[in-house]
Amino acid sequence: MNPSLWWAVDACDPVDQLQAAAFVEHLSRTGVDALLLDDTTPDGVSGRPDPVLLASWLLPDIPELLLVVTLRVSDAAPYAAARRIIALDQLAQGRIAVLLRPGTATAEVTAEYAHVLRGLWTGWDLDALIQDRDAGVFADPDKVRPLHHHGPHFRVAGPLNTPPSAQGAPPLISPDTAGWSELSLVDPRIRVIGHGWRRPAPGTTARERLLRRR
Amino acid sequence: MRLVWFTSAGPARGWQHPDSAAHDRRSLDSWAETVGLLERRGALDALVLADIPALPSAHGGTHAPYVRAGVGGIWNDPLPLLAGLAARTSRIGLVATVSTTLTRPESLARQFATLDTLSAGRSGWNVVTSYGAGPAANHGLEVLPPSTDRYDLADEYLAGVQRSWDRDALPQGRPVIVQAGASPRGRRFAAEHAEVIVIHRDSPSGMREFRDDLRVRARAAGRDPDSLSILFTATLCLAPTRAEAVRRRQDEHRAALDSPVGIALHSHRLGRDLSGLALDEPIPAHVLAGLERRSSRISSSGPDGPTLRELGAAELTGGTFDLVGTPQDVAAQMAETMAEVGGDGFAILEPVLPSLVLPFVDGVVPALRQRGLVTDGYPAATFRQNLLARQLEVLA
Repeated sequence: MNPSLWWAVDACDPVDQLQAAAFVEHLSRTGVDALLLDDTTPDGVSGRPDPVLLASWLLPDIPELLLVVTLRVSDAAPYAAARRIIALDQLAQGRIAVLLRPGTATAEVTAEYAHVLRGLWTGWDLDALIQDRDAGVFADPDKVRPLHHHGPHFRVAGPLNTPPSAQGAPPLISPDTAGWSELSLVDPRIRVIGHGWRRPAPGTTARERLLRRR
Repeated sequence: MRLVWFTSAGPARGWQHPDSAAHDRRSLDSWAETVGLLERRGALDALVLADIPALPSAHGGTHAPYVRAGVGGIWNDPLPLLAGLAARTSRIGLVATVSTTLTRPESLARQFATLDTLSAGRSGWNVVTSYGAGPAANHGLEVLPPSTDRYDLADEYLAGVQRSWDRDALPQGRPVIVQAGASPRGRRFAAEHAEVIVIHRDSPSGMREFRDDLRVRARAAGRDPDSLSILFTATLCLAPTRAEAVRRRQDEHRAALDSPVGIALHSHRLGRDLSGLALDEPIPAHVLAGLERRSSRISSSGPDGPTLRELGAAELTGGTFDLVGTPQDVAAQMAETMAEVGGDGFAILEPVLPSLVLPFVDGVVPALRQRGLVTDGYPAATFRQNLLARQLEVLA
């Protein structure tokens, strides 16, 4: 995944639902590659949208856009987080990437968490799902492996009880250059060309805006 | 009468049905189309999605038979699907199962607040406390706390998340609380907190006993028993003639008993390893020790215990109410059962596929309407208001 043009919103900023739907629908026609649903509120705040659920709710309006959803390490056990992301990624047909924010977790815990997520996601081979109705075979058990992770911070048996999405393991993105990530928010290839739920000016595509800034 | 459809998210449930090929349940479009039928034509109160965070491995200590056959809990987290369906439906309630034992209360409060907002007041939470070795091992635990401790925690947990929802001023105030535990402690929790209770009972007398008990408990807890919706799980086998429906059901039961995965499923349901046992010899007593309360077939068998075949037959026909016949037959059976039990409705335990949903919403529901047992369309805007409005219609 190397989308260059990103639009970032904080999922926690208050927004009217219809306004958000209109916004992403418009955004998807402007040439932006990815929408980042960030989550920068402190731990324990409810009442603001959960980025994963918000992403799922926005899916019907954005058939093309890549969606980057934020997971906070301190919010959920890795098994639960891995299942939730795969459920979303199935519905999004493999268009999901994950920005992993530590929350109150340390860098070491975050790295182990990333390792567990990836281990769970690769526990089902992409071709494990067979669905041969005549033979009565749903999936090939030889292509589904437990994880047996015993780390300093997490113990996770696996495998997931959720079949894989189209891309298997969604890319993991770090806020800074952490060793476990496939991409970081500070990567020079990423250009965040807009913030917030504000609609880009009418008739102005993202590419045009970017060119104008140069 | 209140009706919900009770299933699980993901592609596995009902994958053997011919129309599951054209309705891949990894696609939101496919779900939206079929849940749209439940909503527009059936006016069902809710879609309820079960969840367990583990693959089963009771049979021989391996996941293999369950993965191969696609049974026993190959499920997706229900929340992303329900958030997607919130954008594609407008009236039907959306209920997700989430564990109090394995989820941080702050996260859970936020997730359901999001679902309630996105669905404009149609969210429900099926409160479970989790059980078994699989979910524990996936969450870094040797074993889960004992059941009574888990429910004590759930009491406190629920109070905490409800305080959080009250601060958020959600469209529905608070998401509807759903519960499905049958143990005495589970009944106490349901009587004190639940607005919808889903329970397995295979006879009207068993249903009546449960409902009467729960209503007494609710009154003792200071609640109006009429504010509870006690729904009994039911499986469906619908055909144009009664004989065809009965024959199809018998064929399914025969096939289930003869397949190795049928026995693996019993291992999973009973939490005991039944692998390596002969089909027609008594099951050794130590294998089934402690399960007497779970299955009348176990407690009523002689000193030798039931055979695997006998136990399998009892499990297949027991536990859940089985509705078999023409749509008219099934509507009549539902009506008679509710008249005997007193209320409040059924939770249909079938996959979300058009081949299963259409005969129900276009056959059974119209027959129930003719009998004045269900209304056309939704009387109100939110899930809770619909439940209560339908209760008042029955009382009127």
